[in-house]
Amino acid sequence: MSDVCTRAQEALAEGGVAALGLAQREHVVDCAACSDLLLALNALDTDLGEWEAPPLPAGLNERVAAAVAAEPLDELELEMEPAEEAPARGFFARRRAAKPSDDPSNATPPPLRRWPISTTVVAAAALLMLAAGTFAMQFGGKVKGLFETADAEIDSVDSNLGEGWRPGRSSRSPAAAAPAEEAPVVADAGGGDAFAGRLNRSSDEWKAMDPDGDGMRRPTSDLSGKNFGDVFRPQVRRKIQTRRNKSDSITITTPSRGSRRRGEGRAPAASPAPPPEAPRQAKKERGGLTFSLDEGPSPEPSVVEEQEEEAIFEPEPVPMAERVVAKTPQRSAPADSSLSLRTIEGADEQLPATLEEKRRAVPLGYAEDIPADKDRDRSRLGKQAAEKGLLALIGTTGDTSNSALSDLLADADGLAADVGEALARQAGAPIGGRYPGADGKLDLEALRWLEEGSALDVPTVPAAGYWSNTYVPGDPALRRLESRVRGQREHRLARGLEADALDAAAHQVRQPFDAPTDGALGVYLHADRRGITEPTRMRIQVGLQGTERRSGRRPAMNVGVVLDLRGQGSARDEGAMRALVEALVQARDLGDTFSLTVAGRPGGAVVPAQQFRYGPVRLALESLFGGTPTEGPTLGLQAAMLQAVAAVGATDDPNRPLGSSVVLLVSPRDLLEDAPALEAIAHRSAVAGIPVSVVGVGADADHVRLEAIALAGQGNRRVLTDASDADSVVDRELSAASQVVARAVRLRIRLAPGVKLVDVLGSHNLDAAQSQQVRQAEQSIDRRLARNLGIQADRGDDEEGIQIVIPTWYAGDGHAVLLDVIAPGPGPIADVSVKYKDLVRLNNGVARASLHLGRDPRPPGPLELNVVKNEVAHELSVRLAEAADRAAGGRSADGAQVVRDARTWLGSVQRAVPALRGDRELQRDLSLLTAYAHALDASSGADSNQYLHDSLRLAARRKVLAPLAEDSEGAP
Amino acid sequence: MVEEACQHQQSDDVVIHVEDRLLLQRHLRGDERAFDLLLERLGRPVWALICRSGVRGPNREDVYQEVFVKVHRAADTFQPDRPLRPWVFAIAINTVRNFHRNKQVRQLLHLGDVPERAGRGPSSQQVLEANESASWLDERIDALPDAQREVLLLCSVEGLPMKEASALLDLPVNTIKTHLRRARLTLAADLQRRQRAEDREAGA
Repeated sequence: MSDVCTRAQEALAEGGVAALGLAQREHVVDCAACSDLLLALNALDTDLGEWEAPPLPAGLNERVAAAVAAEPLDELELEMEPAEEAPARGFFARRRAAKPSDDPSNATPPPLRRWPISTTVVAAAALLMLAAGTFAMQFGGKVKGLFETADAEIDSVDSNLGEGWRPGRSSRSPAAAAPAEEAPVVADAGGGDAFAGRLNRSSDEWKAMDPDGDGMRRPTSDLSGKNFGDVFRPQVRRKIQTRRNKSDSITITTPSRGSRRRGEGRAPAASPAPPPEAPRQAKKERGGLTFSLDEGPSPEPSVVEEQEEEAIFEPEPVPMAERVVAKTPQRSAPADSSLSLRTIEGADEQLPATLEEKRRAVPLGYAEDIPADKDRDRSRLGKQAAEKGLLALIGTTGDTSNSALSDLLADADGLAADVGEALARQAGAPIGGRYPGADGKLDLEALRWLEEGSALDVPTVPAAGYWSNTYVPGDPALRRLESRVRGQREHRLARGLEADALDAAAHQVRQPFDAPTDGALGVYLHADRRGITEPTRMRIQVGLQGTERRSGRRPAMNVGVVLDLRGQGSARDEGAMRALVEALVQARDLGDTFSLTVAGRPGGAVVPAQQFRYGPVRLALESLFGGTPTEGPTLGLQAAMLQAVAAVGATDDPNRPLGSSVVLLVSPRDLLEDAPALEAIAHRSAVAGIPVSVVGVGADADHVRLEAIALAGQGNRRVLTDASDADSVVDRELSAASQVVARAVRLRIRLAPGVKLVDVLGSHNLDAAQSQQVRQAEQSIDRRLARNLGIQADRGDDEEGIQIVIPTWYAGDGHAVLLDVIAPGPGPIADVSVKYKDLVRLNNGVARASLHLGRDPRPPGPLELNVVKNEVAHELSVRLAEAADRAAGGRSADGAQVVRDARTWLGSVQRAVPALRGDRELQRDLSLLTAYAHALDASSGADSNQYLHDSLRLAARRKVLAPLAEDSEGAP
Repeated sequence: MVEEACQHQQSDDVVIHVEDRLLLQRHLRGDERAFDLLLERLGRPVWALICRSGVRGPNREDVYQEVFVKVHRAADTFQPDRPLRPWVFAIAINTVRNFHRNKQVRQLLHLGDVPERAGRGPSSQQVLEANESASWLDERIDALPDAQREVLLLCSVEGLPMKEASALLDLPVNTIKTHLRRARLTLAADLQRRQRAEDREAGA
């Protein structure tokens, strides 16, 4: 146990939570042993508190009283001794002199004395008082001043803590702004109370301003009924949001208190107070009102800066007015239509008050040539929008016939009504529902997508049990597609045909997970929004990030290779398998033990471990692939696997690292009826400490079933396209063990009471048999590492909540698990714990995170937007895969339409969330989709369609999977 | 006088009932009611301390009686400016120690256990054993070393401040802290083992 742990645990045992310092509290949160002790001590205190003694027997006190009464008392002399006879001993001196023996009842009772007061004592007391009076007269003023200064400092600190932010004092420019008390205060536009003068508020007022304690650490010694997310909540870093207006003054916006402006570098008295509640000055176009697409909800156009956090997304200024073509699901916009799509902002005091002005308000944009007799419909909808304070959207087509327009109006009206209801509940905030803080200018597609994702009346599932692992290092499907697309591209280029590497532009969203420095794994938990005020459906994201450090050079390996030579293989495939075995020979190092077993041809265990050298291997390969008949049994695939597992097991050294003994199944063919048995063999082998990896050879390999075998065997999945890949496949497989930083990663996600689970994106609930397999696999790793590396075994118990077990984690890998949940309101949402075997520090590691949402109305920040982008990436991946399916079979036009729809959808989502408008990753995705649409339009022939089909599928997978470092191409 | 001065004074964060202190003085002056009142106020906590200190069966009543007889005998040694309860607890602690020492000596001398009187009804042991959690606590706290058990009972159960416990047991405060820390760590570890065993049984 470390010194930190020892001290923290001792402090806990002595004085409880109150005895812990701040750093110790943080340590306890992160340390499993200390956390467990805290819980145990709390339980102990509860038990001790409830520990009832048996009742006093009836009549016992009477018997005691009778026994006491039977013993006479000796009279004691209670008069005081004369002062001159008794020395002036102090209280403690008297105690020391009359120190009781072990049994106080046996001690000689000291005489009862009263404390004599001597003349000396009186004189000393008088001198002391005189000195105190003199000091007070001379230095009292200074002392008073010190206290006043201290008071001011305390007030200042209180004000900062109560606000949760530091006005004008960012971490980068501590002296940027004028002191709070010097700034002129202006009435805010949002309707909150104005600050006045010096920030001097009582603690109750501060508490009222920050009821949820967001941004404030609030430890408590009362642990009953709380989890660590409640007790040790990570401090939310407050950011300063500044808005730069045209006069370059800084306006600071608080979450609930509106805004006030202070000058920057100017005398506060000289800065003119801006007009209160300055409404947005939109560009005027008709009836005294102007319309604009891209202004934010604040009174002034601005660029939002985040001063305390590095912004991943940097929104760029957008033009004041923009024409956008919108498309309803049923209609397509003619190319030459004078379409205009405009949106308005709702809840604006500048909306006209008179009926005439309302009628002419035209809250919905229309093409200029709409006949005047449509004013009736227009004003009706406009009035509806104005009354509800709606943000409404409508698209028009060049067809201005009544029926077409009415249909469009009906669509928009229905959607607008739904949105309006939500907005009305939001009481004037920007668009509610999924993305609070967006300016509400939406396109229909985005609106529908957002509304679907916000629906509360959806079925939910229990947030418990084992779920499938979605972390797939070195996804073989990705490699297979990559090799196929590469091959096709080269083929097309050789024929002078176009073969753009469109898929190279598809990448997983860059994850903002910092690599941990104090352990192998770090965990992060975020939602797609900062706060909620009512039952809300949202996405929460569990982020896992491995440390960059690798665990050293590769260990001595013990590898049993099984070659599937059933049937007649192609020359290319056989050449690839031969190259693989030769590469193994070349890679063999001191201490390595390799063996070769074949299935489908005579020979069986053709090269035992003791003979695995160049000569014997060369001879065996000649026999197998050269047509020379060999002696020995002809094994089936299952028998060959069993033999290989036995051979590796016979030479397995339990003291070697887990993963150093492995069986490698190399197959170019269908596995068909052998697959279930092979899975079972792989699982048993893995449980025994020998993982099973697979290598799919060529285009006809049964990659799906091979994947299942590798999953069951806790091994790796490789793809061998041809002989040229052999060296790299062997190198990766042999060095895989050294790239592992954590094993037996157990992810536990607990949803807070009242929070319901809709889905874990990309995963599925495991049945009882699968769950048992997962447990066995986990415990086998646990036992093995306890034996090998001395990492204490600590597995075997199921936990409440969603459980995901990941056998292996590689250095530098990051992964996100997205959950679709419904939360009843503000409060705790979820907490996450990750237990793992840390192969870097050789101990049991644990990482925790918790999520609590208050009523924070601010728009999403970078972390929240990352969740949004991951979800968008997931949706985009689905759409790309759908386009790929359409493109297969010669329906390139259908595929192109799907791609166009995806582009429209992505564009509208980007516009719906202001912070995403300038996002480079989404811009790249939009360009990618445009390129795919063009390519599909121009595609002709089955060859081209197949290429685009594979390319689209590859792009779909790349959007959600992180490549291994050596495979990255064109990474951002 | 006592009834008029029904007030509390603070001393080392321990509220001293003025009445309790003066009850002993009243008893010394012959007030027959005073000791009965003392038994009413302090009897229950002393009884609980004895029960939790590993004294079983009817021996508890004997020890209880012995404690208060000693209180009566040592009444004139009590310093009224100090709280009464720790003083009485000190007598109780020592009496329990003597009891255990005698029991051990008798066992070593093969004289058998301290003779028990015939039960007067359902024994305390039976009532206690009906409560599973309490019997586990009894067992584990019994297993603690004497010094740790005493400190735990005084500080964690009875809620005495460490300074009071230090004075009562005549040990330095740091020693008290050490005993308390070790006792709580031991019990916490026992509790964790017990919970893991229960979880395994529940899962099996």
